[in-house]
Amino acid sequence: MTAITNEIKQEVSSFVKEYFADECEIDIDDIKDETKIIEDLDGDSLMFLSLLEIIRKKYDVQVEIKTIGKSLMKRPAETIGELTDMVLLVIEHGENIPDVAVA
Amino acid sequence: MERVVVTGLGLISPLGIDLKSSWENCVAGESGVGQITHFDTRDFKIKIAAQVADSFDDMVVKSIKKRIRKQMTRSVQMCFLATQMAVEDSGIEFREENSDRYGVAIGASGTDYPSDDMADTSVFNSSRIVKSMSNAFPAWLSLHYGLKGPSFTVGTACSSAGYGMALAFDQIALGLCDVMITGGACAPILPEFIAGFGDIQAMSERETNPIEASCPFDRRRDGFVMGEGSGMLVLESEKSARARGAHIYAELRRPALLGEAYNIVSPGVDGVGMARCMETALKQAGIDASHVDYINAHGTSTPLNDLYESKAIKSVFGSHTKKLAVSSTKSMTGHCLAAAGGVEAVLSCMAIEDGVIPPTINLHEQDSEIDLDLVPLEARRMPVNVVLSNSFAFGGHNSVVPFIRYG
Repeated sequence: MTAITNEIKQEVSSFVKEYFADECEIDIDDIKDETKIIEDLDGDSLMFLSLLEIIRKKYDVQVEIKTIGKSLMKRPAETIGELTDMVLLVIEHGENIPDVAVA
Repeated sequence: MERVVVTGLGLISPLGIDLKSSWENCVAGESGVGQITHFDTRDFKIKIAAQVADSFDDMVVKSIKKRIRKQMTRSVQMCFLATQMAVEDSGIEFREENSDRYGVAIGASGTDYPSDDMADTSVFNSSRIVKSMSNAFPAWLSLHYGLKGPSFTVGTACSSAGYGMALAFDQIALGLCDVMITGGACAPILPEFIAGFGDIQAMSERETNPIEASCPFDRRRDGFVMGEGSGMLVLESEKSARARGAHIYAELRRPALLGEAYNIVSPGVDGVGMARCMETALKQAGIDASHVDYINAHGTSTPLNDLYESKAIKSVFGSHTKKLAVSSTKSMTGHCLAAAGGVEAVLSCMAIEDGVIPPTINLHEQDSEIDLDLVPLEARRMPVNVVLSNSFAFGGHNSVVPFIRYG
């Protein structure tokens, strides 16, 4: 378990937005929490995998991609904000991501 | 049967990164061959190839979103951009309500994904599969334009594009589709392919004066020079093209596709399989041999192909051979392998469009056993009404694609 501080929250939020801004060649100021990844950014599911792989290494998280995939099945991350929440859950819980969504 | 016409052309070749510059350089008899810069050739006996100019990379960055281009290999990028040129040239607007009447048939032998990237399992790579799947070419085009008709890749080595065009033709001729995007793409100038073709003695080993290395039908020829590129065509039913007032470059008649069943790399003795394919093309197309003005030859600059192809042409065309112009644009573009038929189909359509037959450059000492009018060194202005574009592949997959002036 890693305690999620406001600093980490801010860092992850910025990191996710920077990642999508760079990959999708979109001004970072145009990416908001409510921005839809596939519809608004022309993103795709493989981007999630690449992002999560970076996160795993950056925060030294012990988690299988499959575990994250199962969580995403139960709680799809369609927006930047939802994906950021998922990333924070992964950092906080690793392999033990809770089934119940965090509000 | 619906008549099938060509309404759009796109070309990325060693002679230029668009149709206009490629065609102008082709007519001018320029060579696209030079030293290989894609990788370090110090340990390779083959050091030359016909590469697409570096400015192509800038065009990719400008024209394809980063997320998409990162999932494409160089050959898929070439196909994607050459198609954009062809679609723009055709002026067609794909309509959602007709989307299942539009399709894609691409000739390619894999995506030319570098094998060291593919094999490096030590790094996480979420693009490995998408970049290596041979259906990536039509998949990206189908996604980009919303084309919901048949969409596929056909791979028959150096005749892949010819096969792709034939299968695209069928979709329209049978009334199943109104528009098919077709052609070929290949970017094989990679260490594994250079070494592989070098090992089987298929390539020219010249190091000095690279621009003269690809010399089809010349006595001094010693193998092909590898090229890369993509030639793409928009095929359309005559009805569809006329309804929207499209410019028609040429009519495509049904290409002939044949297997030689002879040898995995060598053509049948004296070009019997090549001749059979040309005869079939004429028969299928309803063209009398005496009406053919020009053959864009396979003409690889290998000793065997050029000799056998010339014998095949003489056997099919008989006395008309003397009036028949034959040239090999591979003397300028190198051999673009799976893309060759696409590149040469585009050049063949331009020959009809502009009334110019591209030259066979570097033909200074014509092989004494090859008695053809090979349009040496300089392009020839003349009316061109009927063209055959030949492609003959390892494995004995032959294709001959007939284009005729529309009217």
